[in-house]
Amino acid sequence: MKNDDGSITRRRLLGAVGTAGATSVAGCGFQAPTAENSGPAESPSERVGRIERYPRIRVASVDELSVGDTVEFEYPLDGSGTFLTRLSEAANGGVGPGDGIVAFSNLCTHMGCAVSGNVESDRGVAGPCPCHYTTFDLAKGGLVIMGPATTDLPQVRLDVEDGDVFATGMAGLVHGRRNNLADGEPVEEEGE
Amino acid sequence: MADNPNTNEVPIPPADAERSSRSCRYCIVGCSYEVFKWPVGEEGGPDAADNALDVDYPAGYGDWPSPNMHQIIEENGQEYHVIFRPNPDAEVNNGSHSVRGGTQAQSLYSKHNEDYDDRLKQPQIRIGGSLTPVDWDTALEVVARVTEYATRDEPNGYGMKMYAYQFVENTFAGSKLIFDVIGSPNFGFHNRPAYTPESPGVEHSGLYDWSTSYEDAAKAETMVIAGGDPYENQDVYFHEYVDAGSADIIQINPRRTFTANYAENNDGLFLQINEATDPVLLNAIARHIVDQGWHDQAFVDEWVMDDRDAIDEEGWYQEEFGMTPDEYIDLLQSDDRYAPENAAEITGIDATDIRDAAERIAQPDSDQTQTLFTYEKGLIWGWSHENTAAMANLALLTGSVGHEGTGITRLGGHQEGWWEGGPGGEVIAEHSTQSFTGEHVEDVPIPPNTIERVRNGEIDHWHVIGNDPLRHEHDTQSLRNRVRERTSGSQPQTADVGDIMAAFRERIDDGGMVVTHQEIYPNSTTEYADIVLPAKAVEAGEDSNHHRWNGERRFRHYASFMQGPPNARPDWEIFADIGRRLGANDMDWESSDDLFDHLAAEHGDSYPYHIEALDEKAQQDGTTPTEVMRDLDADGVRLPARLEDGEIEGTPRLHTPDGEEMPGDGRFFTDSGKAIFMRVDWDRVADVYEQLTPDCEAGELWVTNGRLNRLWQNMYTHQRLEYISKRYEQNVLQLHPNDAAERDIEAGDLVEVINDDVYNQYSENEQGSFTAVAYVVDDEDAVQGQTVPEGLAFTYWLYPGQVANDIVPGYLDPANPNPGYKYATGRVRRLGESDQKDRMSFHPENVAPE
Ligand code: SF4
Ligand code: FES
Repeated sequence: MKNDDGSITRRRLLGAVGTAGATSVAGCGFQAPTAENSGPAESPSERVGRIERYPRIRVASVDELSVGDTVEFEYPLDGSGTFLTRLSEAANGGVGPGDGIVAFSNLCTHMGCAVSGNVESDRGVAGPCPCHYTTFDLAKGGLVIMGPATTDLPQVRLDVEDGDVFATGMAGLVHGRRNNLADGEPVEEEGE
Repeated sequence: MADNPNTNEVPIPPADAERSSRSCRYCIVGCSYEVFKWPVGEEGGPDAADNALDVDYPAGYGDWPSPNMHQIIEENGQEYHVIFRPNPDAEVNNGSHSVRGGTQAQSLYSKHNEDYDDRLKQPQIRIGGSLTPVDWDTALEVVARVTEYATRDEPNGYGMKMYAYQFVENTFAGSKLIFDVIGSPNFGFHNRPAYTPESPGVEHSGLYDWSTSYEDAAKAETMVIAGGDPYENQDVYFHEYVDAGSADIIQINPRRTFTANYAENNDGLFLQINEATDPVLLNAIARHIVDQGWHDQAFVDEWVMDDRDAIDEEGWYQEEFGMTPDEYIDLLQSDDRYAPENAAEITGIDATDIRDAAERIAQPDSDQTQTLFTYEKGLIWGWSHENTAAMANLALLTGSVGHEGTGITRLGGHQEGWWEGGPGGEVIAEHSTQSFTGEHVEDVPIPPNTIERVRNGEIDHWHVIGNDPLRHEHDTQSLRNRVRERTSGSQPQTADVGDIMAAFRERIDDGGMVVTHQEIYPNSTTEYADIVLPAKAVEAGEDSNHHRWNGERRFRHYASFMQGPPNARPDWEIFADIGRRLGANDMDWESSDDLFDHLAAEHGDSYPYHIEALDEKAQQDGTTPTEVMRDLDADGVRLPARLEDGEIEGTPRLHTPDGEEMPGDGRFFTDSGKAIFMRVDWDRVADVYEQLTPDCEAGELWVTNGRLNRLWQNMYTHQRLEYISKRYEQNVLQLHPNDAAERDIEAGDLVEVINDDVYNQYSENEQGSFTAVAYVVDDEDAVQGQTVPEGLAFTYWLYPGQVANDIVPGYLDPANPNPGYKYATGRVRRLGESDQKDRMSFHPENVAPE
């Protein structure tokens, strides 16, 4: 809602701006890929020599996730906001019970505002984004339902092992990035 | 998992990448873009100092070139990266963009893009029934010779259907060809069949339909939006101006779209009007304002014409429709249909809401209203006189014009770029075969409906440029049937000009027609074309520099940065070549810059877009008008332009009280400089309304049409662009769940819409139909209401192969032959399950922030 002078609109917009600009300087623990974890074809191109592979990290436990729950985490780099949620329907790229667990970048692909505060898991959507109101379909790979974003919401690749959900990669370029694994430090893999 | 094309990385332009400036190729908002081009193999660094974007990576809010803003093109054996970045420093968009503009790099002429194979690349002539490549000289000689033959008795045998907007250089050369060189009155714009104004009621009242500044939307206290939806269609105008401001929005629309919910969620009003009843609502609002004494009497006294004779002398349109203030107020108060309670029955809007809207518009407690009136195709492509005149009357009645936060403007479709290159009005007065007789005028020549003249045989050579009338026009299924008949006669059998002309002469002598199609991609009209001329996509930056303006008359330079298909030619050059073959000796421009410099120097006062100052400035500085425009870069100048202290100054808004912005003119575009109320009488259209209204007993619905946010026009680029078209892999038909259930239709079913009796005011009614995927939103998911009400269906207006215009009625205003495209009806039946059932997202598209 707006104030008479429209000021809330501007504040809302600024407050929602994401954190892509916050380059991490932490120097921890990213290690070379193992063969079985090498990125699939969709991972960043070998053309950028310094890119190795996406980290694999545990994000949640299937048993602890009810429909509508949302978990925020950072992936694939420190400071790259992502969210995981469980939908009431089967989703493209979904894992777990009924293929309903999905995870996405938190940054709207229009101009980078954060959408995790506007996730409606029961309806399977994220949005309207607080800045220019793009809404994404979480069951259809982050497809834009309506609004100005120029790419789908980047989706985190998940798999389930022994009841735990792991993030293993991303489809789609995260807002602000030239490459999802450049210009920052990868999140730390467990046990490494 | 859905994926995006090319999403893995976006290269960074090096600091020395070539930069040029241009505006978006698509909508009226005219967002500015910077284009960066550099050889493949080079790359900039992630620090601002090391790249041309001046951005530190990772990029922050609004600084990011997304994957769809990048492409690789190839020229002369060298590959180049191209990035289209929304200009962060431009006044219009401040780095913002929509999905349309933000993906335009994906339709550059590039073998990496999906549309590459489809571009028209060489001239063709239909020989032995098939389009066959020929050389330019053969193709243009045939165009010239067939034009000569078609006009051997009278110029009317040549008809032209051309865009109104595709840059002043092209429209100037094209309109010079038809009006000056050939002298035919048979000109139709891309979106209507005649050389008519789109907002006759606004323009003939002395107002201009692009008279405001974008800032007015941010400054208004009340913003009326009728028959349009800026969130859906003018994204950046909505984000940067409407949403940034604090106006209470009054949204008038049969559908509850995003902006309707946005209005309600932000203390505004949504008036969900019954289809086609806008004049009654707008008159009822005006009546209540007058009844309450809320109108601006001082403004009316000073600025609205009250001398009947003077009104009559303004022209036949004003003589027929102009009214003195007394006549206007008498019309409002003497017709009880405009009393709010009665209007409520016709329009479906509560009398309380009508009164509320009247008060918000008139702002009786303020000395000067801050009300902005905006409208678009829901009004224009309906009762075009009544709808637009009723809006103009409200602006004048409340004195809401010429101040910050006031005014009346279209919201707009494409950008604008019409520059008349020949005496259109004189040619029409002399040669038009169409006339109008009204209550006060008799048999006045008017711009001819060229579609009717294609059908009735007056036009023998139809030259179609940059549009697809066999899908764009009204009643198109029947039109295609007629064009098929008229082009099916004698066919050329060799590429010899003499043989070709013998065949075309025989066809024309038998009542047939030859079609020339000048385009960038093939479309429905190409299927019937005899001659195909491949054009450069200058809107995408190919070949030459060009100029046009946006919805606040902001005139800008569009710098060319790539060649495009080597054997295609820009439209202005094609017109000039044809003109010279027909004897013109003043169409020998060497380049688009040369043409523009000539236009600015010799024809700089095309009403009301004065650009004489560009030439004055060029003379002063020893440069050229083209260079003056290039130096104005992303922000250009809002027309009219003038020279002040040696610098180019623009005009934020028209109709200001001192009228200074209009060189040589008064505050309004009339001889007296005062404005005129226009007659808006429901009786003038009530009979046709009855005939067009769907027969509910027979299962008919209103089937209106319009835009969907991400799709542009006839989808000439978007149908070929995977990322865009995957949202709607087929046309959609929005249906209320109750209407769907009655017909055993579910979301994702393929349906057919049939009209057995498409209204045609000139000839027999015929059948029309199209198919679409049913878009039905679950009531539970429709958290802010269903978009379409019961009894009304909505479809995209121009989805290739599934075109709503095939059922659009042939009702054109007798005084100003523009079609009522929005007023179609049909019955809907289920054909079966489509392949979209599990692929398409059927969520509501109207959920606004609360
Ligand atoms: S709002 Fe219009 S001009 Fe701006 S980027 Fe979108 S289509 Fe282009
Ligand atoms: S940043 Fe999300 S819609 Fe603009």
